[in-house]
Amino acid sequence: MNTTGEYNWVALFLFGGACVLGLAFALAALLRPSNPGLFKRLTFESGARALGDALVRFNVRFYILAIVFLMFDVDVVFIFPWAAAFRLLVFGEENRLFTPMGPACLWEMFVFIGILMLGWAYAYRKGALEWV
Amino acid sequence: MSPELLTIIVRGGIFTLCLLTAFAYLTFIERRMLAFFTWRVGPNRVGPWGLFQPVADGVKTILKQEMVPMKADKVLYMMSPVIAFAACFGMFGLIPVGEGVWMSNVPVAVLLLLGLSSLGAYGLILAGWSSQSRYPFLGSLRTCAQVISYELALGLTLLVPVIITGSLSFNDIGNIYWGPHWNPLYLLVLLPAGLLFLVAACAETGRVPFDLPECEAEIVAGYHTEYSSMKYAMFPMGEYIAMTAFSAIAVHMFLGGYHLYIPSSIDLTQPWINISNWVGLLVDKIGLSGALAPPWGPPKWLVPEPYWASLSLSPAGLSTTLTFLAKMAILILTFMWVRATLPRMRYDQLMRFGWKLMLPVGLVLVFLTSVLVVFAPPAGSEAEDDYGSRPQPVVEVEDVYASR
Repeated sequence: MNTTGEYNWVALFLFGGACVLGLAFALAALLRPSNPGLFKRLTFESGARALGDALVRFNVRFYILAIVFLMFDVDVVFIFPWAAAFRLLVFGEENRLFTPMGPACLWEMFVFIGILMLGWAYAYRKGALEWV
Repeated sequence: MSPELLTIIVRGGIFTLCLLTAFAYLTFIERRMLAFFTWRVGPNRVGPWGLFQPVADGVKTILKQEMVPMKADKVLYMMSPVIAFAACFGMFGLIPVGEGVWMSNVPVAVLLLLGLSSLGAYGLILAGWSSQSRYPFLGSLRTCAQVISYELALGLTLLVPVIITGSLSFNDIGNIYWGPHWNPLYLLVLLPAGLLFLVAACAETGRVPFDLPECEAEIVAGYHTEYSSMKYAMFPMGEYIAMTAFSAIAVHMFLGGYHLYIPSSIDLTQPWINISNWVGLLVDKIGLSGALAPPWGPPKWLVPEPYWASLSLSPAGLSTTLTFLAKMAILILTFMWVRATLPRMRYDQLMRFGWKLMLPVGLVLVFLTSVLVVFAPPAGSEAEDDYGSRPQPVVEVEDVYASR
């Protein structure tokens, strides 16, 4: 099956979606009244005049969480090819020229998932997952 | 223009129209359902039974004045609703809706879909940041933290059917229960995985027990506080379409996709009867002929012959699509029911639930699934440990070289 064309259709669909949005925006811009004023264009601050910059300092726990996420996310994506090929790796397939690995494939991945769980336990122990 | 490209464009147009209508009427159905749950009437003024309410809402949204804050980063402010919407919308480019009714049949659809769902988070984060206002900024940080926390559980639960079927394409995974790889023991992992997936999908789309990004008592409206008019409408639109998309994914992954089988007897272990093509069965029974005979499509005088075949719908396509939509509707109504039932979580509860429960449980499920696949092989297979009894193909390779 030739599948390269299929990816083009996905991209085309995405592009089409963006175009529909563009049309909606254009239509709205043509139809709606436009009467901007100073107070309308101020940022919302519960009725008070906004002071200073909005990009305030925020808690460092967001960074730690993001780093933990990044680590796990890359690992989960790494598991995906293994998962898709798992049955093939263990049992092999008719007319496919390679020796099936058998349960060895399972144990090898368990080492990986085990290390992942260890990392999770470490983050837990260190309090990186706490949200106080 | 090649027939293939024209077909795709027409099909894309139909998909887009259906999705936008579905979004409009989902808001209406949700409001009516919430009203029903809380003993109210709900919107019933516009048109018969309030059926034109979505139209009125749309007209109102388009005619509203737009206010762009002075401090906003204009380019990103414009772009973020587009990203948020297009990422959710694009998911339907990957999901087959019925047999032969799809935008694309990509072999790695599941992986691409995960990517698109992460991409949607960018829209929300940029929306909050580019508004240069405090509430949206805090809201976007919250959204970001929530989405990334539940994304892991989402990915891990999707792995369970992928391991069982050994495929990343929805068309293969949808047939999981009746395919050659099925063993009833797999239900032990599929049921909890499906449940976890629904919870994670709820959190990813910011639906009610997890609607912290829009917690109005704390951060006004979260990341879209500074948005108005059409640009504001893109966020709920993206959210509803994402909810639809996640329901569709759940149907493919855990509810048997667009297939429909009924048990042949009370003994459920007996082979089940395939009635996926129930429209076709009905047509055979009634015996339609002439202009009414399938496949159905646009009138022949309107669409010339080479294009007609790819734009028409066979009974199989029609019945699988209807089955799929019915299964999806059940899940969407469940999401709405959950919204009416559960209160919003507290933020630390949300984080604890995601990181300390969903993530390890997801990992254990992946672990268990792989064990089951190895030690509980498909019910139909002849040998218990199949992997030893297969002929060793390596020998064949050597034979090929020897015969030269």
